Amino acid sequence: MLSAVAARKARLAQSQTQNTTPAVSAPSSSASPPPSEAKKKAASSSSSQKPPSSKRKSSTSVGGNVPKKKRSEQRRPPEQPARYFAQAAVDAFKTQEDVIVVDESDAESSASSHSSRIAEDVAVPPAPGRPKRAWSPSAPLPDSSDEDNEEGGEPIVLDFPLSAPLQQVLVQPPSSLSSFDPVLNQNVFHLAPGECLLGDTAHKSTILLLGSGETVALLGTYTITVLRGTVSVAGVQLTAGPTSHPVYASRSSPIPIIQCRLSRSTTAPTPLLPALPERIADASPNFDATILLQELHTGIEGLGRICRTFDGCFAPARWHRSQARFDMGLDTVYFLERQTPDVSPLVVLPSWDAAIGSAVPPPSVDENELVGRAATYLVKGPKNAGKSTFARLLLNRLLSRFKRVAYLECDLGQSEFTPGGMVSLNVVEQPLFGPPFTHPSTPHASHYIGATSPKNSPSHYLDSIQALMQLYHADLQNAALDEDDTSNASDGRISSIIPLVINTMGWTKGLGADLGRKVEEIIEPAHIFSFAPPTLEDDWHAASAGPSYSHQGPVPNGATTIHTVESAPPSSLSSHYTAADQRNISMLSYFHAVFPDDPPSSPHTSPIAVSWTTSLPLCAQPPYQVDCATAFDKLVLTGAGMEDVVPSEVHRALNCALVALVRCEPGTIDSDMSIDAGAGTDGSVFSLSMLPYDQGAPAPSPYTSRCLGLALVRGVSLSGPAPAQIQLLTPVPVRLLGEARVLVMGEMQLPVWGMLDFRTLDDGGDVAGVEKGRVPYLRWGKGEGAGGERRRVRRNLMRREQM
Amino acid sequence: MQLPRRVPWENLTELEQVFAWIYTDENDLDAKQRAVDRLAAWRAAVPLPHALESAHTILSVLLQDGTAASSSTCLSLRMSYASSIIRLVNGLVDPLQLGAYARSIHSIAQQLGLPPWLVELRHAATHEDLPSLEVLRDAAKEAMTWLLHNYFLPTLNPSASSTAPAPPLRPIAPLLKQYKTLLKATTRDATLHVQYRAEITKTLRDIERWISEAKVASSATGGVAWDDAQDENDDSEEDTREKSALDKLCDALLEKGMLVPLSKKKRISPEQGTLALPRSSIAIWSPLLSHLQSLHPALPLHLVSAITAHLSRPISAGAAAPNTDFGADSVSLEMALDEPKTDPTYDICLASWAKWLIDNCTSGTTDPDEATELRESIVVRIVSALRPDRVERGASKAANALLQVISAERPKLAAALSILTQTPAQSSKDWDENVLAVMDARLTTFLALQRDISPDTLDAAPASAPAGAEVVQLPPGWRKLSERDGWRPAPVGVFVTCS
Repeated sequence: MLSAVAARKARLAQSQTQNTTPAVSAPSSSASPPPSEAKKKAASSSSSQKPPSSKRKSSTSVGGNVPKKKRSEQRRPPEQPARYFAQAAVDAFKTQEDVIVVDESDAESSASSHSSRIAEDVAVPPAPGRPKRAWSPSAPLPDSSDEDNEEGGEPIVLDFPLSAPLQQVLVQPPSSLSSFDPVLNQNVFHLAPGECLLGDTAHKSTILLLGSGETVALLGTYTITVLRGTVSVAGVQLTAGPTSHPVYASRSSPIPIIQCRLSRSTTAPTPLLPALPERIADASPNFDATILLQELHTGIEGLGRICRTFDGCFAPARWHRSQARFDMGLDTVYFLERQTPDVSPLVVLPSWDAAIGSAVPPPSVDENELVGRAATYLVKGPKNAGKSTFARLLLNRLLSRFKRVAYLECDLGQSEFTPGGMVSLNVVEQPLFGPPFTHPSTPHASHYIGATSPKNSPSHYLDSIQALMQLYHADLQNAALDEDDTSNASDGRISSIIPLVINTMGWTKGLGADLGRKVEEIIEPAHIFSFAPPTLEDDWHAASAGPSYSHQGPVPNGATTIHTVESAPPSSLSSHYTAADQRNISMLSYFHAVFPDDPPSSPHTSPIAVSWTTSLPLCAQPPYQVDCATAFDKLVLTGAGMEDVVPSEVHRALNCALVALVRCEPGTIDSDMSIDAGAGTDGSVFSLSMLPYDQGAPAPSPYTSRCLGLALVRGVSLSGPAPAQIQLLTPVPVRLLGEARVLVMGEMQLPVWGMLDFRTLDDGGDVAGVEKGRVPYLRWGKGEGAGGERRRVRRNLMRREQM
Repeated sequence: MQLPRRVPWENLTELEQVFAWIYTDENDLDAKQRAVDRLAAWRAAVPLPHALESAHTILSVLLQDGTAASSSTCLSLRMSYASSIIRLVNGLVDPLQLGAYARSIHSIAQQLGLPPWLVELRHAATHEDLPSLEVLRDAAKEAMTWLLHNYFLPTLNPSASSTAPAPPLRPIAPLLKQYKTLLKATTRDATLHVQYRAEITKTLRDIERWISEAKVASSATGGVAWDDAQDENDDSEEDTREKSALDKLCDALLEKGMLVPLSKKKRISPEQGTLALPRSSIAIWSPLLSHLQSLHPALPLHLVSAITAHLSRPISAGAAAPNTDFGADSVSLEMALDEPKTDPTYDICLASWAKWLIDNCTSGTTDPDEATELRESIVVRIVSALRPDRVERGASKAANALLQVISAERPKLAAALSILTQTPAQSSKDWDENVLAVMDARLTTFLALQRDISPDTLDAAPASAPAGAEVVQLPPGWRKLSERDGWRPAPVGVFVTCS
């Protein structure tokens, strides 16, 4: 727990340097001495655009608790007419209490909670303001059961997303995303092909000159290079340097905002960078930062054609497309001036900022002091709280201090770097700007669980995490010491320590809570970022307990610091894109991704996909044909009920399945599993099955195996005298394939989008030339007969008496 | 767009094979074993339809019962039977729990045609003494028979009509009439309100229940075009169910004597022109509408669609003309109306309701954004249904009046409408050589564009093309296929034989 003084200090430091929301930025920009006339104008106009900022400032100076309480009460929307659900009324009452009690109890650490309270007033309306949603049969009720990770429990949104638009309105009344006012050849310069400074000369480039505090919101795919000054992207500071960072701003997730920071450093151009063309160099002294934007062509936008739920997510929605917007001169980038219902900005809450600021060692701390100190950061909280976003932010922030940061993904449902179903350990060198499906990687190490939730194999799940932690401690934590330190000097980042960020799953009740606790015991994190539970009736008391809550940590470990952070405000995006949608796109992104074939320069980094082959659907991509007897030693099926699959039928289960390619240490595979053994059990017919299948065998131990990647079995052949052949599609680099001697099949499936042929989806729906009704393993239309659908689970059914 | 769903069989003959193994000879345990093995493999591949999964569990218990003669304890057998029955019934009933509140399992089972005693057995096995082995054996057989008639036969013979047709949906008109009577009484004499409150609530609930029944019925009869998709997209299926239920409700509401009073005097006179509803109508119906809207936000949209569908009928065809010209939507409406077609006061009254819906649809929501959104989508629906060109032709006074009233409040719309009504500015007269030339030029630019793009897309597939060097690196047993080996694109799941 932070002391009040430390918290205040941290807050101060934060507010001076790292104001992230546009609203916050205005005061600091107007307060700073503007270096030129032009800039003064820009600053003053930007601050006058934002009435909320000045308002907030005044309230900060007023201070005291009493007026604030009054204000928060006034802010509350007028009492709503009594509606259908009595329960909703109870809710309103609860949260009202919540507001008052928090005010009274935070006398101890006034500074930090004070300012975050204010921020909350502005950014997150008190819960009573939320409109009661129309009833939906599947939106989980607060007290619904916990296994929401389960496939069948996906929230199915039937009603209008009532809550979302209101939230947005209250978040930023003027709903302006960019305070930057682009004027061609004044602060925006399109570069002619010959003028190109860096990188790929084939793509168009544009240079932006930003004044301090100005924000730019861009949609699309681009690379950003900071040529001068300091700029923050999605809450991460980027200083001038030759590195260009790819940014994937998709409508499917909050888009990163570029904001110019007040640079206190010298305005002299960094020597590493090429000189700007004269016309730009002349204009730039009037501004605080110069950034170079370049088109980024990766083929990723083709994923939208494959999975239509994400169609055109890198461009404005169709009905906004016609709208006049400033032309950035880049084909893949769209300038967004105002907020539209389908785009929401990535908001870094002040409490997030503060928590990260207090946990990440400040630049003043010397590298040598950090050696030997555990640098493990665990993020936990309920689902939809913003864990992944927060973890990515934390990772990015750490990357400005450390050369490499490791990331342990324990969330099987929505993984950051891999398709779902595996726990993985990644090592990252460059900050990530984009949703998970834009950076699939070949992890440093990973283990396949085979399901989107550990509910069926909790012990395997825990073992896998334990194995990865051992690996981290043995290989990574301080391993970079033996590398040559020449690169260390170039960007001033620490390379001798690799800190670790751990993202945990959102299943935080029942067995999930149990698992979560065990995960914490395994990891023994130095810092825990715990998302405040939503202010529901049950969880509320825990939250209001304030400091005592932090002592509820699983291990009474003195070394663990617990930071409580507030949940992200619900965004409209979560209703547009469900967790299942995100899983689908991650999986499809993985199978269409192209990973660099060469081994990474350092053994510690995890290569990230740089392009996607989206010109052909999976059904038309030439596969590998693999002779099972030669290439594989063992096939294992994991998951509930898989023990019942007999060898004679296993090829039916395997066809169209997703399998993990697993490398086992030599000697750890049961040697008695020879091919003849499969034939032995029942005689004649089965001798055809040459698949090295071992019925009921457990998954390979994570301590002696590693998952190298996933493959899609696109065909199985057992006919003829030839040994069993399977046809596989996999993005795993060729150099790794030879090590994969074991196949593990779990419960995960290829999304149905991946089985379709997007080229003919709109006319006829043929798949690779086979007409729609005759495509094997797929069925269009509703099956007749009762019980023809998958079981569907309802956990929010109410009884009449509850009315 | 319609998405398919994954099925475990390559084609229906594979399912037929399993069907034959199960049902051809009840005593052939080997065949049953084969069926169980196949179903287990399928289950590993794809989550099975509930009926198949139930068949799988029941069959494996039957097998256990048939083979394990020396089984020391009957309890485990009884437990297995009981849990398979419980899971069967629950899995069948749960998808039909569509409302906010639980419906009784009995009523759903009745709708499904599930033997009531299986439902009782489920209850007994869950909460009471575990039933006897004898009863459980019978139940398992009964369940398999039910699955035969209700799942296997309809799935394998899609054309054959379902053997057990679902009971038809009861009419809603009596419910609405009852509601109207109650509200009429209370609006005339406010003192009665307390007395009738319970009854009004009950009627409201009955109407709610009717809607959920209508949802179930729409799925049971398959009367709607399904655009359901894979499991994650089940909400679209939900939507269609809700849509069809709401449409039925709206049709009923539009009948004379419901929203529009029977007595022509109580409607509004067309001369008034303001499209104001009589106060009594509003007092009676607005509680119901706002109540239902809170549960079904899309209700106003559906109601407006139904109204405009009625108003946009081409009346010029004359009252006597048979309704050949109508879209499928309005046919049912017409049948329901069963009245002479031109009834100006009825039309005007409907138009007034549409206007009222625009003005009042948002009373339930506090969110201004959403309110405008809803209002706009209603207006869009009205305007697109009552296109000016149609109105010009169709001469429906009510539609005209409605459009005018709407556009009076929205200057932009008025401007747009006036442009639209000015109709063909560019006629075929203006055609000349120049136009053709322009089109030619455009075509060539377009074609050129395509040529520019195509090399790009080829470039985008680098991994699939280069073979040579990689083949060498591939580990033993692996080989990358290419067109030269005879590989050709085929649906996932098809093994392409290569040389």
